[in-house]
Amino acid sequence: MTKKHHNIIIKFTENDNIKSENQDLGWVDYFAKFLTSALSYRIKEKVNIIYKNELELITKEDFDNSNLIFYILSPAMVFSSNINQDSTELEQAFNFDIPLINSKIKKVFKAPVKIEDLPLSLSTPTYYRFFDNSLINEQNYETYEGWNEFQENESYWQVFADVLLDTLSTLENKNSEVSSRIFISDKNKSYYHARNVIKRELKAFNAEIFPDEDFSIEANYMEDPEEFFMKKCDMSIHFPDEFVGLTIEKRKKAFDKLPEKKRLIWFSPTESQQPEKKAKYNELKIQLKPYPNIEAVETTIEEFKEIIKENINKIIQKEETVLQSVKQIIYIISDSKLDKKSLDLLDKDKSISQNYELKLIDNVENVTDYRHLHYELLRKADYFIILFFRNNLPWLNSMSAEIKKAPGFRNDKEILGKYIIFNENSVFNDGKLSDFELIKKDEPSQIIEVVKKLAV
Amino acid sequence: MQENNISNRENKVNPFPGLRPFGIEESYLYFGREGQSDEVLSILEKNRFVNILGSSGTGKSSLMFSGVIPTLHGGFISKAGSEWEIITAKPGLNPIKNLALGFKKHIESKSQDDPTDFSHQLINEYLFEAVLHKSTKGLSDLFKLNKYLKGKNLLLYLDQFEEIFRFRKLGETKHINESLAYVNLILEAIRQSEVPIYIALSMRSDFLGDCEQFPELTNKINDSHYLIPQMTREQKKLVITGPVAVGNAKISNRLVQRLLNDMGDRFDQLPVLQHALMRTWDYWIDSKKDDDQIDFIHYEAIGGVNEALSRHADEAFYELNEEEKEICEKLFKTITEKRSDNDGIRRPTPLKEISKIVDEEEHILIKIIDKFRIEGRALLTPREEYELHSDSVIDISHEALMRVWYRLKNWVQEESQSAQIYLRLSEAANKFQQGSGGLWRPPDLQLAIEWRNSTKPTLKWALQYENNFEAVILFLEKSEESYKKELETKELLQKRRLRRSKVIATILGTAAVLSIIFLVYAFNQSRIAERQREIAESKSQEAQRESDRAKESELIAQRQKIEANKSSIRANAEREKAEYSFLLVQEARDVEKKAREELAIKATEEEKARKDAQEKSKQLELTNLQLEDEKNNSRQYSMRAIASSLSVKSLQQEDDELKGLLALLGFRFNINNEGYENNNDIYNGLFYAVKNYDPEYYNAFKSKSTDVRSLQFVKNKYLYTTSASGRINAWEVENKTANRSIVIFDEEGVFVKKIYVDEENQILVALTDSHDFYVIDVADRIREIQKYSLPNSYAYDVSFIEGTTDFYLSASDNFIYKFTNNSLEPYLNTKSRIYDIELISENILATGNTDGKIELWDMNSKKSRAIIREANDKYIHSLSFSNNILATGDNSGQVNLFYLDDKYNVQNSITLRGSDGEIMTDIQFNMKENQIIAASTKGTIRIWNLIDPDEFPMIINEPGSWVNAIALMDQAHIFAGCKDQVFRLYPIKSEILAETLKNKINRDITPEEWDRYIGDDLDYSPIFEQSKFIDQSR
Repeated sequence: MTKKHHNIIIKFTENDNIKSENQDLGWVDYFAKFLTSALSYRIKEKVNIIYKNELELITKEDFDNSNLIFYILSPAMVFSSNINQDSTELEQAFNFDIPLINSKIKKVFKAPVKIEDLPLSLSTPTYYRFFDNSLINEQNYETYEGWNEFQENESYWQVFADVLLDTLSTLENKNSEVSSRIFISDKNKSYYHARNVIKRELKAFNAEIFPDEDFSIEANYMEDPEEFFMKKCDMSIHFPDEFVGLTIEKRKKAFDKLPEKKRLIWFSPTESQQPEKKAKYNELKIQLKPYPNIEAVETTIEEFKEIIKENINKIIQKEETVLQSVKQIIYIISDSKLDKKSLDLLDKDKSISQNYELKLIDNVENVTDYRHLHYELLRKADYFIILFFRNNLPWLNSMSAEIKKAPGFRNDKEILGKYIIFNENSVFNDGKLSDFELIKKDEPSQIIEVVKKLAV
Repeated sequence: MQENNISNRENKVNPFPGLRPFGIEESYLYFGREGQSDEVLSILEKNRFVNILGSSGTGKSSLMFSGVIPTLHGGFISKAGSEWEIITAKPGLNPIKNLALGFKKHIESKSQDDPTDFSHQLINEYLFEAVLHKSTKGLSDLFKLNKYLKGKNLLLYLDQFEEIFRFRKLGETKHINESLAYVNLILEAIRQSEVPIYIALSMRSDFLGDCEQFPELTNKINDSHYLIPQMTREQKKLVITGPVAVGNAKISNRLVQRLLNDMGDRFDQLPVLQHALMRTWDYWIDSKKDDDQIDFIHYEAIGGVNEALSRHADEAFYELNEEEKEICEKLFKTITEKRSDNDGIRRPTPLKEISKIVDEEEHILIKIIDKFRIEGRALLTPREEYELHSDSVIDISHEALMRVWYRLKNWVQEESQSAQIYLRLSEAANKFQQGSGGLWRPPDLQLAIEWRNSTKPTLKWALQYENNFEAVILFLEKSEESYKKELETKELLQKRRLRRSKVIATILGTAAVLSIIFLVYAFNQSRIAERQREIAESKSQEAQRESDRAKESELIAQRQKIEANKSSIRANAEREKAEYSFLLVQEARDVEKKAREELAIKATEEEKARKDAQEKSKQLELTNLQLEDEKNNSRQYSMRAIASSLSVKSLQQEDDELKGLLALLGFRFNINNEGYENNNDIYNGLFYAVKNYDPEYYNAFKSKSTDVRSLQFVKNKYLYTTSASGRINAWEVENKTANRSIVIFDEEGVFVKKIYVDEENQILVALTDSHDFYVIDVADRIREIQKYSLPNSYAYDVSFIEGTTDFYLSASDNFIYKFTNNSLEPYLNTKSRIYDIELISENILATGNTDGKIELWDMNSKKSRAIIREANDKYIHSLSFSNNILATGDNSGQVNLFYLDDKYNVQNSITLRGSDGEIMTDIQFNMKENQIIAASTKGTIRIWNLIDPDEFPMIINEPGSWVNAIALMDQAHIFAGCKDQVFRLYPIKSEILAETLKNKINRDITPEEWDRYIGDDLDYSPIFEQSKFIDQSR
C-alpha cells in the first residue's frame, strides 16, 4: 500500500512497433495500451509504462524501481539489440538469483525466436506466445512489424488474458504456492492447442508445468530430458502422436519409463476420427495394455481437464495419508452406547492413546455427517470392531456387510484386523461372518481389553 | 372521486406487464408470491447457489427480478451485506460469449470511461470471453478484474438455463466441450471461496432430467433447488387485485371470479392472465364510458383469457401485407421449436441468423418484428426501447404464446414436420451414401418434393437441425431424377407395347374380315362353277345323243344333207359352249385355292404372334431373374459392408482371439460376397490380428539387420541387401527363409546407396554417395570387385539391358552412360537431370526427370522418341514398366499409370487414388496378381489392383518409417527394407494372412459373440469345420 504507482518496463525494438498503413499505433503501443486499460479495471493506482528500446539499457536502478519487465521478443530483438548487455547487468547485479529475476521478467514472444539464442537471464518460466506455434513457418513472420493479424482474433486475447492476470497477481504480490507439478509432453504438433488449454487450466489451479521451454536449457545437459522432467513431476500427461510410429524398442523404452508415476495419454476424439490415425491409435491403445500406470483416456478436453484434476487430488491425498498415518486407526461401530467411564478409561490409557486413534460411532444424529465419516474410515481405518449386544441381527448383517466393502475403497492399505464383540445372548450365524474374529465378552465396556490386546 | 378517477385515467400506467416477466423496478406490482423469495434466498445464502425450477409460465424470472433481487438489495442475506451487483445472462447458442456479454454490459453501465475509447471497447469485446475460456476459474478471475465489484457481492443470474441442453444437443465436439466448460465455470465459481459470487439459475422443471448430463451439476442441484409452487386461488386473486389497487383503480368482484374460473388449473395460465389483464386495462382506459371499475364489458371486449392473446397477435399479423405475412411465418418458425406433442420451446436467434435462415434482408425483418414489439404488444423481445441491429437476439416474450396463438401453434407444428422430413431425408441420404439404402420413391418422395417446394429450405435453416443440407438436396434431386426416368421408361415401354398390340390387332382384324369375304366369295364361286359344270355336262350328253342320232340317220340324212349339215354346225357350237363352261370351272377352282392359301398365311401369322407372346413372357422371366440378381447384389453389398465393419471392429478388440475371429469373418464375408480382393479394411484386420499373435511375424528371417537402403531379389533365390553401414549382404532364400547371409562387399568409408543385379545374377552394381560405383561379379565364388568413377557427377539409377550384363546408368551431369565390356561411356545427353530410368524394350529407355517430365528415348539413334508427360514441377522418384504400362511415382506421393500402345504412344493415363503425400520410393508390378505396389517415405506400402485402378489401395501401415525399397518375392510376398532397422516380409494377399490366422486361432466364435458383432439377422455359422476343436479336445 506504500507504493502509489506501479512501474512496468517494456523492452522492445522499434522494428516491432512499426505502424501498419491502417493503424494508428504499433504492436507494442497496442500491447501497452491494452495492458494499462485493462489494469485500470482493477487497480486504482497509477501504472507507468516505461518504454526501453533496443538502444536503451535496463540498469540496476531500472530493475529496482520496476515491478515488472516485459521483453517483447522477436528475431529482430534477439539479433539487433543489446539484449546481452542488459542481461549481464541483471545477472551480475543479482548474482544469478533466478527466482528473483523470474518474478520480475516476463517474455512476450511476438514472433518465433529460438530459445537457445536468448541469454540465461531470460530463462523466466513465464512466457506468452502471440503467434501460433503450431504453424511453425518462419517465412510468415518475415514482416512481423506493426499490427499483426493476431491482434483482433481470439488467440490474441487468449494470450493477453494470460499476460493480464499474471501481471495483476505480480502487482498485487499474490504468489501462490505450487500445489503440484505436472509433466505435459510437448512433442505432438497436432495437440499443441490442447496442450495450451490443459496448461492454462492446471496453472489456474497452481500447478507447475514441465517442460517449460525456459528450463529446456537445463534439460539440454540431460541424457533423457523427458525422464528428467517426469521425475520432477507428480504426474505426466502425453498425447498419442508421440508414440505412433515408434520402433518396438523405442516404444518399450518410452512406456517403461518411471513405472511408479501415473501417466495419462489423451486421445482427442476429433483426432481419432481421422482415418489415417484411427487404426494407429487403436493399435497404440492395445500396446498400452501391460502398463498399469499408463491410462488411455479418450474424451472431450473439458472432461479430460476434470480427470487430470481428480488424478492430481488422488496423488496428493495419497502423499498426505502417507505423511499422516503415524497412529493406527480403530473404527468401532457399536449398537449400544458406551458409557462415559469406559470411554475415559480408553482415553487415559497411554499405551492406547499413543499408538491408536479411536473412532467410535455409537449414537448417530446426523446421517449425512455420519456417512461421510463412515466412508472415510472405511478408507483409512486399520482395525474394525463391531460391538453387538442388542441382538438386532439385521443391524449386524448390515454393518458387517459395510465393513466387508472396505477393501474396495482403499489405496493399497491393508486391514489389520476385523472383530465382532458379542455376549452370550447374541444369536447369529457365524458362518456368514467367517472373516471376522469373534470375541465373546459380557458387556460393551470390555472393549478396552480387546484394544489393549491389540497394543500388545 | 369518481370523476377524478375517470379524468385521471389517461395518466394511469398499466400495472400489468403482459407476457414479459416483471422487472426489478416493478416489484411494487408483484403480488402472490410473498415469502417465496425468502426461501430462495435462504438456499442461496447457504450454498451460494440456487436453482429455481418451475414449469413454463410459473413466473421464474418474475420471482427473481421482482422478488429475490429486490429483497437481496434490502440486505436480507445477513452475512453477505446489502451491497450487491447483479449480472444476468442467458446461455443461448453461445453460452460463454453470452456470459462475457453480461459482464460487458455490467461494466459498461457502471463505467465512466470514454465509450469511444477503442482499447476499452476491444477489451470489453474480447478480453472477458478470453478470461472465461482461460480456465474454469474464469468467473472469479473476471470478478477480480472488475473494480466495481470490489467489496461487493455478485449475484449471477442465469435465466433460461435449459438453453444449454439445446446447445449441447447440437452434438459436435465443440458444443459438448463448450457446454461442459460453461457448467464447470459455474461449479468452480460456487466451489471457490476467494470472492463472493452467488449464482442463481432458473430452469424449466421439465428439463430437470437433462441435468444428468452434468453429474456435478446434478449434485449441486440436489442440494439447492427451489421448485416454485403453483399459486393457490387466493394467491391468484391477489395477482389480479393487487396491481389494480396499486394502479389506483377498481375491478368488479364478479370479473375477478370469472377470471379465476376462466383461467382454470392449467399451469401456464399466469402469463396469459397477465396479458388478458393488460389488455383489459388498456381497453378500460380507452373506453370513455363512465364506469368506475373494470368489469365484464372490458374483459369480453378483448376476448377473454382464452382469446385475448390470439387476437392481439393476430392484430399485429393483419397489419402486414401478404408478402410480409409469409416472411412473418418463417420468422416465427425460426424462433420456436416443438418439443413434445403439446409443448414448444423458444429458440432465441440473432437477427443476422434469422435473415440467413429465412433468406430475407434484415431491414424487412425489422419492420415485421417491430410490429410485434410496439409498446403494449411486446410479443417479441428485445423490448421496444432497444433498437434492433444484426446481433439483436429475437425471441418470443413467452412460451405461452406458442400454446395460445393458434396461428403460431400451427406454424410450430408445420416447422416440426418440416424438420422431421429433413432429418429423415438426411438419414436416408447418409444411408444412400454408405450404400446401405436406396433412393426414395413415392409416396415418401412426393412428400419430400412437396416439402422442398413449399418451404424452400435454406442451408442456414437446415443447419439448425443437422449439417447435411447439401447431401439432402442432392439425394432428393437424385431420387426425383431417378423416379422421373423410371416413369419415362415405364411410359415408353407402355406406349411401345400399346402401339405394337394396336398394329397386331389391326392386321389380325383386317385379315379376319378379308378371309371371311374370301371364304364367302370362294364358296359362291365354287357353287356357280359346279352348276355350270352340271349344265355343261348334261349339254355334252345331249350333244352326244344328238350326234349318235345324226350318225344313225346319216343314211337317212344323206338325203336330208342340208338339214344334217345344219345340225352338225349346231352340234359344234354346242361343244364349244361346253368347253367354255369347263374353263370357267377351272378358273373358279383356282380362285378357291388362292383363298385357301391366303387363309394358311393368316394362320402362320397367327402362329407367329403367339410365338412373339411366348418370347415376351420369356423376357419377363429374364427380367425377374435380373431382379433376383439385383437383390442378390444388394445383399452382397450389405454383406460386404458388414465385412468391412467387422474388420474395423477387429482392430478395436483387446481380446486376441476375438480380434482374430472378427478379422477372419470379415475376410470370409468379403470373399464369399464377391468383395474387392484388395479391400484395405479386410487386409488391415487380418494384418493386425496376425501381428497380435506373432509380433515378429513380418520380420523377414527373424533377423536383426540394420536398416535396408536398397535390396534386390533375383532368380527367386538370391537376395541382396545393403544398409547404411555400406555393407552388401547376400542371402539365399529358400522357403521364405534364409538362415544366414554372407557379406560380399564391405569397404570402409563407402556408403552404398543403391544396388542393382542383372536378371541372371551375374553382376551387381553398387551406387555410392560419391562419384564412385562398383561392379561386383556375383556369379563366381571369387567375387571380383571393380571400381569405376563418374567424372564430377553422381549416379542415380541403373537399368540392365535384357539378357546381358551391360547397363545404362543415369547421372547427375544430365548424361546417360552406357556400361559395356567393363567400360563406361557417356551415351546420351538428356539435357535435364534424370533420376530414374527404365529400359522398356531393347532400345527404348524411359526416363523421369527432376521436373516430373517423363520421356522415351530411342537408344539406337540417341534421340528423344516421345514425351509421355510434360514437366509438372514434381520430382519423379521411381519408374516401372510392365505389360505396356509405365508407372511413375513422384515426390508428392502420386502414382501415375501410362498405358502405352505397341508403338509406345500414350493411350490413356490415370492417377491412382489414395496417395499418401510423400515421396514414392519404389514401384513394382506384380503382373501375376495384377497388382502394382508402391512404397513411400511415409512408411506405407500401397497395393493397387490393375484391373480396378480406380479403387482405393490396400495399405500396409506397419513400417511407420521410410520404406526405402521393396522387392517381390513370389507374387504373394514382398520384401520391404525400412529405416527402422527391421527388414520385413509382407504377404500381399489377404488369403495368405487368413490362412496363417486360421492356424493361430485357438477357438471359434461363440453364438453370443456372433449376435453381438454380426447380428442375429444372419444365422450363426462357425468359422471352422466343426472338427478342429473337437479333435483337439479329444
